[in-house]
This record gives sequence, C-alpha cells and structure tokens, in this order.
Amino acid sequence: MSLKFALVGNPNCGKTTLFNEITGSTQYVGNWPGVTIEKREGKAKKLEGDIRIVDLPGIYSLSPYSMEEIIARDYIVNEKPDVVINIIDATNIERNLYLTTQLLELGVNVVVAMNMMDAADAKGDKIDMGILEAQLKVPVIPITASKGRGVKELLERAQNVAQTAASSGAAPLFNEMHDESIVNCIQEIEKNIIPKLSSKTDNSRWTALKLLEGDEKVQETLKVPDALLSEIKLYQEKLEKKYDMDIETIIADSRYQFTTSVTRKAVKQKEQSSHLTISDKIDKVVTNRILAIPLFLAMMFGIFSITFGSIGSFTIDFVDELVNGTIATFLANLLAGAGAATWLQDLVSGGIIGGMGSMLVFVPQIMLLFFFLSILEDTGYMARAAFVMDRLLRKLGLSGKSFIPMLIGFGCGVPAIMSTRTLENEKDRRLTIMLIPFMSCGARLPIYALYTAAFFSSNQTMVVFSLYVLGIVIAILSGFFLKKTILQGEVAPFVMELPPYRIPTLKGLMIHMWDKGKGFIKKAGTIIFTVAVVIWFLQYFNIFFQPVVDPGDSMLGGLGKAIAPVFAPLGFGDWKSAVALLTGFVAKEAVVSTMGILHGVADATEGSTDLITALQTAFTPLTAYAFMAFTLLYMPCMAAFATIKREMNSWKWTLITVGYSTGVAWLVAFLIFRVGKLLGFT
Amino acid sequence: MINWILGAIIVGVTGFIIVRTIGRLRRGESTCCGGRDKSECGCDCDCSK
Repeated sequence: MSLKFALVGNPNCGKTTLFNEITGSTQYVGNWPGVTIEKREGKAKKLEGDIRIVDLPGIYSLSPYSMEEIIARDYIVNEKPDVVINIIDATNIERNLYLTTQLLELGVNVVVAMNMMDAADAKGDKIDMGILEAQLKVPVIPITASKGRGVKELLERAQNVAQTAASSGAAPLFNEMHDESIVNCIQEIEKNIIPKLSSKTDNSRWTALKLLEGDEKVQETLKVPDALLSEIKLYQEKLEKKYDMDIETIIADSRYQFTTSVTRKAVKQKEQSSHLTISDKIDKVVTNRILAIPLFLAMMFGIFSITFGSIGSFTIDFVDELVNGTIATFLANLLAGAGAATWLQDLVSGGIIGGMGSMLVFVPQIMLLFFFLSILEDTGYMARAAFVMDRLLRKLGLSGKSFIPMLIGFGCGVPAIMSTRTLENEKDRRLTIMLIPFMSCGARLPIYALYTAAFFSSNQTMVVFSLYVLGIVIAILSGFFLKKTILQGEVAPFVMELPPYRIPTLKGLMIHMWDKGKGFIKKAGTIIFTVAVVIWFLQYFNIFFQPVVDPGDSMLGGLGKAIAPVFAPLGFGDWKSAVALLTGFVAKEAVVSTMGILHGVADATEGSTDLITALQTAFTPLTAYAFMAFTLLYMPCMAAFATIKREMNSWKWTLITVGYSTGVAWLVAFLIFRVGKLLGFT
Repeated sequence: MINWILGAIIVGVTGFIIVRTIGRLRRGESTCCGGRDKSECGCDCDCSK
C-alpha cells in the first residue's frame, strides 16, 4: 500500500534534517529560516513498503500570508497526504504549537514529532509526552533528527495512524480550542452558508472556520457570492462586538490561549537564570553596532586567506599536475600510438583536456572555500550577518530581507533567485533578483584563482577578497539607485528569527563540501565538455571548414575580432578575451576553459604552453583586475538567466536585468582601468 | 578508423548534452539539473529516482 507523509513545521525546526534522515538523501540543510522554498519529495528508506515523504517549506501558520504558507496549505488541502508529520522544536514548544492548532482544525491525520529533544534536555526542560498526547489527541513522538533518534518509531506510528485512522474531516478539538460563541458561529456557517455554495467542499467545518476568519483565498476558491459574504459578515460582527477585536485576532487569540494552556500543563521549563546564555554572549559581540561589520569582513578575509594560501595552492598544483600533466600526456601518447590523426589528438588534448582541466584544477580550492562558508552557515552566524546588514541596508532604503538571497548568491545565483520568493513585495523581489548577479558565485572562483595566480601571487587573498567586497558594494549601490528610480516603494520590514548557535556536524560540512565539488565536476563533464568541443572546433576551422594555422583566422577568431572593440576601452580588447567572456554566458567557469583552449594548455602534441605564462603576455595586472571585475559583474550565466525569466515571468524585466548588470560591469571595468592608469598602475 | 569512432563519440556526446540542456532549460529544470546539484536547488525533485 502506497502512503504519503508530509513534513510540516516552523522554519528552522529541522524538517529537512528529518527528511534526509528518513529518505537517506542529502538535501541542503541550513541553520537559518527559509532554506526550503518549494516542496521536495523522497522515498522513506527506514520502513518497509512504499512511503513517500514530502518536505514542505517552513511556515508559522496556515494563513495565506506568504508564498510558503500558500504552498504548504494548498498541498495539505488538495493533495491530502495520509499523515501530516508536524515537527515541533522542543526548545520552543508554545510558538510551534500555533501551527499544530491549525493542522488539527483541518482535521487531517497528524503525528507530532517533538524534535531537538537533545537541546531541550540540555536546557533542562521536562516535556510530558503523555499530557501532550492527551491534550492534542494525536500521537507525540520525541525525536532528535540530527542523531536519528526516535525516527523509526515516529515513522511506525505515522504508518499505524495512516492505516488505522481515516481522516475525520472534522476537527475533534474545535470545542476545546475555541470559545463556545466561536464554535456556535462556525456551526451556524456550516449549517446555513456552506450548503448554499455552488462549489462543494469535503471539509465543511474547516471551510466554515476559514469563512468566519475572512480568508480571502478560501472565498476566492469557493467563489462565495456577495450575498453570502454579507451573511458571514453578520457572524463576524457579532463576535467582534463581543470580544472588541477584529475577527482574525479573535481566532488567533483563541488558538494562542489553547497553546499556552497546553504548554503550561505539559512542559516544565527550567528556571531561566538571569545570566546571559552563551548564545547571547556571542551575539553581544557579533551583532555589536560597531564591531559587527568589521568582524564579518575579518571572518571572510580569514576564509579567503586559508583558501588562497598555501593549502589552496598545494591543491591546485597537485590537480594541475594530475590532469594537465599525467592524464593529458597519457592520452596524447595513447592516441598517437593508436594512429589517431593530428586533429583528433589536438581535439582531445588541447580541446577537451585543456578546457575541462583548466577548470578542474580549481575544484579542491572551491570545495575548501565552501567548507569554511558552511561552518559560518551551520553555526548560525550567516543569519546574524543578514541581521547586521539590515541596519546598513535600511539606511540606504533597502530591506535586510534582500540580503538572505544575496548571501545564497555567494554559492550560486540560481537558488538565490528562487529564494526571493520569500519576499512578499513584488518590487522588492524584482530588485533583489536584479542585485543577485552582482554577488560572486562559486563559478567565478576559477577565474579569480587563475588571474590572481598569474598577476597577484603575493597578495592573492586581498585581491579575491576585494572582488567579493566590490560585488557587495555594487549590489548595495545599485539597490539604492534602483529603489530611487525604477523600483520605488516602501522598505519592507525585516523580521527574522535568529537561530541558536549550533556546533556544525562534520557529516553536514562534508555533505556541503562534496555537493559543491560534485556540482563542479558534473559541470566539467557536461557543459564545459560541450563548450570545449565547440570552442575547439570553431578555433580549428575557418568559415570554409579548412584547418587554420593561426586561430585568429578561424571562425572563432573572426567572431572574437568583431566583438573585441567593445572591450578595448576596458584594457582587454584582444579577441581571445572577448570570446572567453562570450562563453561565460553558458557557464562562468567556461571563461577559464576557453582561455585554456585558446592559449593551448595541455596541447601535448604541439608542446605544452603554460596558461599563466600565456596570460602574463596578454594582460597586465591592471587589465587583469579590470577583467576580473567585469566577469564578476556582467550578465549572469544561462541557468541563472532562465531562472530570472521564470521567476520574473517577463522578458522585459529579464532583459533589463541582463542589460543592467552588463552595463554596470562595463562601466566599473572602464573606471578601474582608466582611473588605475591615471594613478600610475600598469 | 579510430578517427571516425572517437570523432563520432565526441560529436554524439556533445550533441546529446546540448539537446538535453536546451530541453531542461525549456522545461524550467535548469535550477535542478543544469550542471548543479539537486541538493542546493530546493526545487521539486523526486530524489528517489
């Protein structure tokens, strides 16, 4: 028998950790709210039988205020999972129970997973599961998802509930949860209004409650006529008069009273000491008005120092020797021995190995960087960084809410653009999407690593760090400019729950690091492979498909020479750079691969040329920096472009975003080159 | 002979990747599989497959 369980809970209560534990998958888990933005599905591996698990975005309620709440409620109401596993953070039961009350109102089969029991125990809280079960009238299972404790029992109970209890469709707790006058109004709406609706509902009690609450989404779905809305208004006014509050507050207050009463009965919290907790003490320093931003910058600088210091260099040398040395020579000898034609040897060595190898050498360094960034994220520090940046952004008329997607953009622009769905205001959302391409994603790292190794070997860390800061500064200035011009509007308030500090698990860090590395290796084997073959072909033949001696006479050379004048004022007007920037649209790493091919790296048949040496003749330190700044800021890659189009749902805004970022990139690179020259840099 | 065999394999693989990438971009799956790892995209993937 096939069963479907949905995981529902507040943000950052450990849903994805539980999902990973149950399904054996390695979905991204972050110690901040809003990591899951769409539902994800997997198969339970811990139990016999076909059990599908759906991980829903974190929500505080089932009221349709945000996109996540709509996604979660629509799923539960329309898809009707066999059991809803409601995950509750055991260290914060009262607030988490608000969502539970709404799930119970829905009348679906609920099993409560009391998660993070280890943290509650450490705090000294005593939770009586028996009382909770009696109060909520649903099973309550204590678990610690991060350690796998209680998960099997939770699944067995959920399976048992799914197989034995049919969804009642009517909440058993209505009478306990709400006052008699509220319950009476719900019953009357159920009796007098629901039968008159043209659209049928299979959960009349819940629908009556939602109509009483004035839920516009439900009114819209059921197409409630104005005459019936007027009748409902009478019930609402009756209650509003009695409680002297608006109807939404009356119902919410009623639920809160219930959750407070349940918590009082079931939870004995250890008396709060007047001393600050460790978390509070750390926060006093890292969110300090004066120290916060310098600390953030110092931490990032420290990470770059390790990544681009001796450890990073060692990994580059090792992989370079392996890929561009041992493997390239082996393949060249193998092909020569097998009697392969010169063009084929050149395609494999110079094209494929040269292209893929140029990027692959930087994979360990990228993994190292993301290992350290994961530490900041998993400890809960990154959430503080967003909080700290809010203060600065607010002064510029922006919301700190935009900074979370921008932080995600350090990894990759695609999930960052998708995470803007958490912004309710359409203008803020558009603005944030337009700023994300300025954040330096991981794919740009090989470009920085290559150019800094060639031109700034003694201060690599400082140069890469300056590029990251440049991206943030340009994003903030752009946000300020756009907010004052084409995207005017009020600054949205930024309310974010700061997660507790947690010690990251080695397993979690390794998963993040491996995910990143795997993504790059996969990309090298697919997109970069394709770009390498196409680039090799275009630089090997002219428009009459005859091999050329000088790649400048090839098809690619012709194309590069046609667009190179655009970049001449920026200091890198050679055709090879122009072509490399063009291929960067496919994937940013392709810039390095293209340079590798065009400068003949791993060209074992023709005599190997070192890419760094080749670049040192084509660029100066000043033009190299302008080039890196351009690649940092110019149009996003193909995958990000497609995501922008989908999320903005407008060609006009997609093209504005691409045009704006490329225009800014040109201007900034131009200024760097010209001002640098004026200041006497070469 | 080896020129034809290897050449055909390389062209075939390149063509396949291009067609697959375009198809995925059109279906809006680029966020999930366009060279990136599913675990970071947060999209609606069936992870059991």
